[in-house]
Amino acid sequence: MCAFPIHIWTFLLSFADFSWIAARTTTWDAIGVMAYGLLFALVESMLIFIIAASAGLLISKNWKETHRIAILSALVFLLSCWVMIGQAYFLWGIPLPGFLLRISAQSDHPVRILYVFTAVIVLLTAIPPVYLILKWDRVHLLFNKFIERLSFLTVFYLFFDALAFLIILIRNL
Amino acid sequence: MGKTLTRRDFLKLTGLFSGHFALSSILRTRDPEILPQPGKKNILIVVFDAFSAYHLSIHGYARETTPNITRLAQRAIVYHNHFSAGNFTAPGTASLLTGTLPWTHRAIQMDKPVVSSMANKSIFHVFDDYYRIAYSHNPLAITYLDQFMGDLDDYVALEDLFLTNDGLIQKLFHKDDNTSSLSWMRTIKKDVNGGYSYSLFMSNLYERILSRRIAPFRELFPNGLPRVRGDNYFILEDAIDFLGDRLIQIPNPFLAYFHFFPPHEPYSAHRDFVDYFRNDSFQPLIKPVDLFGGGRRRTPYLLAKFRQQYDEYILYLDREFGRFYDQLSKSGLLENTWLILTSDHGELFERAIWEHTTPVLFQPVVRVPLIVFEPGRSSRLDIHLPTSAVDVLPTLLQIGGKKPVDWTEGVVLPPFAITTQNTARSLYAIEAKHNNPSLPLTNATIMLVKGRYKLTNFFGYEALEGGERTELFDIEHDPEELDNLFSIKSALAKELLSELKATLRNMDQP
Repeated sequence: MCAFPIHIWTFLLSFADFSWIAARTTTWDAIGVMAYGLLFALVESMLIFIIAASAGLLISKNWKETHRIAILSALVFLLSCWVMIGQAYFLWGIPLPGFLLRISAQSDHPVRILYVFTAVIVLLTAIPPVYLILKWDRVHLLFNKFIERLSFLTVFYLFFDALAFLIILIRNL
Repeated sequence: MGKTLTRRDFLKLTGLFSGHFALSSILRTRDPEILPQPGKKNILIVVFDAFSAYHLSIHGYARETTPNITRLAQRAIVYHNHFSAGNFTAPGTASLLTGTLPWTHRAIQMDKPVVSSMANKSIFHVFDDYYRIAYSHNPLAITYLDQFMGDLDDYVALEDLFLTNDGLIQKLFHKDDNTSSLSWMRTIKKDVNGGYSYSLFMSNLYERILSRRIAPFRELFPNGLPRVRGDNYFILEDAIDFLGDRLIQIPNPFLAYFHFFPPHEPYSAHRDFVDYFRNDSFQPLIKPVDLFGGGRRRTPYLLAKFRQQYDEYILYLDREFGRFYDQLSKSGLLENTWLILTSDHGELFERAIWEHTTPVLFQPVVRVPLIVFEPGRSSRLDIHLPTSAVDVLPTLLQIGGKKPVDWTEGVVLPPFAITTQNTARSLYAIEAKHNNPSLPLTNATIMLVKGRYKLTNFFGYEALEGGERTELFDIEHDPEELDNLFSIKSALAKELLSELKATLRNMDQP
């Protein structure tokens, strides 16, 4: 579950960036840039997995293991979505909503206002899925199936990661 | 640190960050044990990267971008029509250091070294009886310093003069450091001028950590700190001070090659110069959109904005060069040192083209400064004859009293040449980054300058759909390259094109 959003993001961005890099270097170098990007994504996935697994220790053992996995996966997935939105805001230069800018500008601590606003939004969106997973078995089962399918996709990421590793090896021979 | 950082505080801090703060003020005066050997003068080559002659007031630019260089050049030789051999660091630097053109040294791609047969044919090799020292901010130029390391006595490491750097990545992937470093930048950086945040989580975290480390300098550089590839931050003052001090300590005679990154993009002028040209009356000429131009960030408004920032960055480096010159002058070093100021290539803000890495070789991207500060000279000499980066090496051999070498493609520059220079000499610049260095060029741009005419031939590009593009300009009467004379002066154009192709056939034999 950790690998999915991280790899998808790296794939999307590096493909979008490929022609820019190739125009300034060569196609082989652009492939190299992508390969290193995938290697960094693999390292990042492992780091996020370790953090998520450690955070799992904070969840009550009274809940079933499948529930705990589902909740953690949902939170990672949700957090990834929010980070993607945040990155997209930056990359495409989308300004913040006017009302938020006005409130921040009127405050003595505009950055704190933005942090609080972000935390509230993220928490509000985190509560419903956690609640639904815990309360409704149907949602819980659906989510676990979703995770299983995404886990299957990991085989493909691993294939591309291995390919990237091979490319990096060749480039560094 | 308070909000009002004084210049003294700043210099103290930059000294700390350089990692060389232990230098004693005693060392600022020359050690009597290393007095110059009679008859041999030092040679100091200062390269500012992407430093276009088109943008320098000393060469007639309407904005006064080089007041200090102009002042100092009153006792120098100023070459007004000097051409780099390529349009980016690799070919430009390799040609400067080897005195050969890209079709010979084959450093035509971003991070490729010169061909192995040229490894012992560099400026450092021929000045083997000098103390040879080199430094570069630019990792692409480092490729050549690495390659010629055996001929260097003192090699200041790239990261020594950086506040922060991605040295770990470069060390881990040493054999592919340029691409791995570029990928790291695209992965980790959230920066409109280079970063692309392939990394979902780490880029946010990294940005926070890094921003704390550079925070003390941030207010000095409103457009961002000077940097190479995203997060290799440096302060020009730091490099200038450190290298100036180093020169005073090393044995004489020395050959020093210092390659500073400014005014290369991203344009990060010191706050003293930010918006200096913002409301001036300067209006850039509107030129037709080029076939290789375009892109959403190439509107006339943005090009004018980038040009303004670039010009302000030049103003900043002009101040620092002036300070460097004064530092060396006060130490007495310049009485015995040839100082050569030049660049590896230029920069472009016209025809919907920004920067220098496109196929075009218009004047702003290939015409670079060459100013020779001769020790003891009391007047300025202006040379308008076209000259090339490959001429620097044979000229230095001449002024250093050394025998000429047979492998250089340059000539000794006036006024040092013993014989009168051929005014109709052919000069070349080459852009061929999309070619395999070990194969003949199939996709390239070749520029030929002969007297007042400049012919540029493009071939092999997808945009040309199998055809070629050739332009002829009279750069003496039309320095802005607005009137393509290819059809009007067809006989001359064909003659020059024929010469260009014959030379290419002859020289392009990897």
